Amino acid sequence: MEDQEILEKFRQETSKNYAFNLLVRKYQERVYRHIRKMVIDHDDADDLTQETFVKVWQNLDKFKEQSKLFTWIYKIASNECLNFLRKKRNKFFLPIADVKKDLLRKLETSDYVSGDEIAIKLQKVLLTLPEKQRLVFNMKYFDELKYEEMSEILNTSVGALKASYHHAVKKIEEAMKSEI
Amino acid sequence: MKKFKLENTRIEPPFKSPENYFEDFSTKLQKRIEGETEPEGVSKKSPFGVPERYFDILPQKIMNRVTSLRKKVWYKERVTWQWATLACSFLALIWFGQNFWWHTHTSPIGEAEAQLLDELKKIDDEEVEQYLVANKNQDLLLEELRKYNVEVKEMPKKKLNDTSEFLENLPKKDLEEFIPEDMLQEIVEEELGGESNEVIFSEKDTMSL
Repeated sequence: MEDQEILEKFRQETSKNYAFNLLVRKYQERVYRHIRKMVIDHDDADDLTQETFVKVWQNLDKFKEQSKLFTWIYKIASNECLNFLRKKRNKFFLPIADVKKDLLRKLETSDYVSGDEIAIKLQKVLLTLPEKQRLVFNMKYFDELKYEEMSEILNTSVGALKASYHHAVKKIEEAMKSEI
Repeated sequence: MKKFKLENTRIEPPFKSPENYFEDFSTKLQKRIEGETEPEGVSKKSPFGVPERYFDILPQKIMNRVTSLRKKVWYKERVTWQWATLACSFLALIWFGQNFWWHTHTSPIGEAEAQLLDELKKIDDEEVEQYLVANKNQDLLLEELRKYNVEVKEMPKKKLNDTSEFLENLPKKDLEEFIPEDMLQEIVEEELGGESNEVIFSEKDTMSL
């Protein structure tokens, strides 16, 4: 079902739940995978995915359709991830490096991580990047979003995003060479 | 030692570039401008897996959270309404209570008394004095006038009830201010026409004035 149709059904009280269920089924996997790449652990990703959709439910009436529905949902999910990592730092008085160590440990020990060496190496290298640069790289490289969409989601200019992505690629290539 | 002359020698820089570097340069530049460069030696394969049938269960988990959220909102609204109703009832009770107290504690007699006192305050002290003097000498004045054959209609004499009522209602404090105690007694007796020995103000009353 098209987004427009889902939104129309959501606005009617009788089909609100039905429309929301359709919306969740349509976008849950993309949202989950985006979040999972940022927080690494499945349980954290599960919780944040649910939280993202709860916020979507609470605010969908205010959605003015000035952007694509998925871009809007993606923005909520990205903010949830960044807030989660920030809270993690504040909660345990951990410096950024310790949060990264914690994520690295989860990557090595967590369930539901495949044994693909190159893929794990890339994730390890990604954990060395600043959080927002990691977010930019994930959106561009894995999720294949357009820069214009990323600009809407992250409130950053297209030029700055391109530069950030380019630097991320360079760092990754360097790190991958030394890892290999 | 042989002298080195740069102008006689052509020295090439020692730098080399990768094979086909310049052939690929424009493509690479274009990719960079568009921000489409991809890191070499990596794959897009994600190492992250999910529990079995996870995406079948997730929508139900989310719907459960949303439903409980709706219930919470409904409960909050209900509780807010309950508090508002309670507050309104309380205010109404205070209003009715105050009205009831007002009606029971302010009798019509009390109001009339207050009105009378207000009216008495408006009467000029001088007028009272003149009235009393005029009444005292009314008979003498008539006699005098008749001596000179002046026809005078009989001046209306205050009836006993009217006078005593008037005196009763007159503030005692005002009387004391203008009439000495002994004169007051005399005036009262005169007004009563000597028919009664009853004194309106007892000694106790005048003392307390």
